[in-house]
Amino acid sequence: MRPALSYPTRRRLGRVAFYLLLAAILIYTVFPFYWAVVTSLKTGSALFAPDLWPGEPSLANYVAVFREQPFARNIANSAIVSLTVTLLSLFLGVTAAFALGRMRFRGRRPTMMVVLGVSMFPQIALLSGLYELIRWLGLYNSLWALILSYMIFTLPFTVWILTAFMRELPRELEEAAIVDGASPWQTLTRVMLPLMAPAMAAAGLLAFIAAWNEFLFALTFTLTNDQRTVPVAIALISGSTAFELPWGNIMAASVVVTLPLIVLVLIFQRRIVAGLTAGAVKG
Amino acid sequence: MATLALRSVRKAFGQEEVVKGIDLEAADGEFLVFVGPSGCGKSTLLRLIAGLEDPTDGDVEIGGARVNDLAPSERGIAMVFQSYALYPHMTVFDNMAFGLKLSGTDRSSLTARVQDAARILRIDHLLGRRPRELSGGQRQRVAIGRAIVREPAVFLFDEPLSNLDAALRVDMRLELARLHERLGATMVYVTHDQVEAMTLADRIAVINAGRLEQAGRPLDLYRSPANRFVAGFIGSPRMNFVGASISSVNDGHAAAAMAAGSTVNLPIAQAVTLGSPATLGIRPEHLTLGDEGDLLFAGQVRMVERLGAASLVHLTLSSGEDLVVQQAGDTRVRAGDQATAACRIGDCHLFNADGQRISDRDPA
Repeated sequence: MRPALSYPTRRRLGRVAFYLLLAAILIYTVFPFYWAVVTSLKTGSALFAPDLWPGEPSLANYVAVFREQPFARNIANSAIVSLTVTLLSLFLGVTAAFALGRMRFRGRRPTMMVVLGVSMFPQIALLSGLYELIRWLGLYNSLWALILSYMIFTLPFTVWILTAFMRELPRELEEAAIVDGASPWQTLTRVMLPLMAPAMAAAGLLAFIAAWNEFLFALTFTLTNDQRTVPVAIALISGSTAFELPWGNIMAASVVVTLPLIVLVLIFQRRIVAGLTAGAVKG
Repeated sequence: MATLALRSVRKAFGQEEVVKGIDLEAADGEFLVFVGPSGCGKSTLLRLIAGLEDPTDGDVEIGGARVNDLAPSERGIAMVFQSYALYPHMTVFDNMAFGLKLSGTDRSSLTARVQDAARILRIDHLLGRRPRELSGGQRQRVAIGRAIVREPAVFLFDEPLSNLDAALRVDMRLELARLHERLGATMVYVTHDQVEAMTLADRIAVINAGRLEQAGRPLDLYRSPANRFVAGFIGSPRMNFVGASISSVNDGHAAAAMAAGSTVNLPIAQAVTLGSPATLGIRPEHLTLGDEGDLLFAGQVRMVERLGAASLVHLTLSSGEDLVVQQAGDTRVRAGDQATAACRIGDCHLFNADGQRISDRDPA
């Protein structure tokens, strides 16, 4: 039976449908951020008018966020924690991946499974035990408490991504380095590491984003405003009275903390795609 | 420059023994080729010499000293890998200099050695490039160059030409022969290609299923294969094998009666029982079409392959066995014709039921 529509027509319709779907997804994902930007530019009663465009755009909210609380300090905290978590995760991840992906030893598979298993516990299940641990280590209300606890969820996926990538690197490359007289450390740093850059960028960025956005641990393990990271600080922004929620400030703060992530993703996006698909197909 | 020796070397991976006790020596400056079908253990053997694998049993000696407990870089070897294994992020110069840098060679002698090696291999104009900007043949040269700068006592090559196209392979083969002549180093070369083995080797070691079948000079292996495996592996096209049984034994001679009818009487070097099954081997190039010869085979032409310089005529004998005849130039026979092939008695090999050669080769 011949279809009612000719092939070119069907193709054109298909393309229209594709772009409609694309537009729908785009609006769904970008609108919340757009709304935050628009709201952050509004002041006073304009905040409560559902306009898609601010009538009188103003940066007053941005100024207020930084003036009314130690928001710069919060951003610095977030940056310190996220960067430290990223660097530590990458360092431990790469060295672990070298062992797990490259060396034959007893218990390699169980180790991989335990690493994966650790990341399966819901955060809330770990919370009270981890709280005791952090108290006992004397890290309560310090950034180290956050760094330590974030590694619990960043390390498993860094190790897995890097191990998968490491396995794809040809074994002969490593053997060539061994014949050339390289120690395992030199093989890792001078031969493997430069080739791992895409996977490192992907894993590092994911770790950074996870640490930057984390809320529950940050809320639980810090007490004072000058130790808080950005997500908690934003959630705890309060107005002049208990009945006022300062939407303008909250939105301005949200926009400020989202920007670094967008910049990072734009810089590394090519490498992320390369890194994420690297382990997927056998070469 | 050094000698190399394997003493009852064994290697097992788990339960599976891949190298089953090999004794072999290479003289100083010798070009030794390991040849065998894939999975026969020849690459494992090379890796045992390199130190990339540890033998389960037995010793590896280089320059007369046991090297089992030395790291690959301390053994005075250099290895050229099948995939070249060039460091993708380094320039050609850095690829070649990497080993020297690690060993702390001073900058000026390092540069001199890399440039010398590059000149020998005619890649001195490529030193600033990265591997991905090179052709297959150039990458191969860089891999060899990386071995040369280490000034090793023993060069190890693991199927180095198998990734190149046919024309380039012939060029590189000549180049390797030239290089061996120039450097005078001991070289061990693994290949499954018997043409490479025949042309490059001072001595060939034929390996099968983890055992050494025979070691010797290329033409000795061609003329006097120790067993059916070596006979079939060395020489192209492959040696023909025709079933037979020993019909009489006397006075250092044995007569083998073939299923196809005729009987051949050959001098033998080993005892053989009357009536036991045997195999007669004749190389295609020793057979000619026509009836001028000591031994005749009649059959029907199944197929003719015309290669230009030679033609391969496939006969089916009355016993149902196949026989390939290599004729120089073109041939007039066509599929379906009846034809007769002939050979000299002196070109026949006789193998016993275990595949060992029992016919004595007339030196004349």
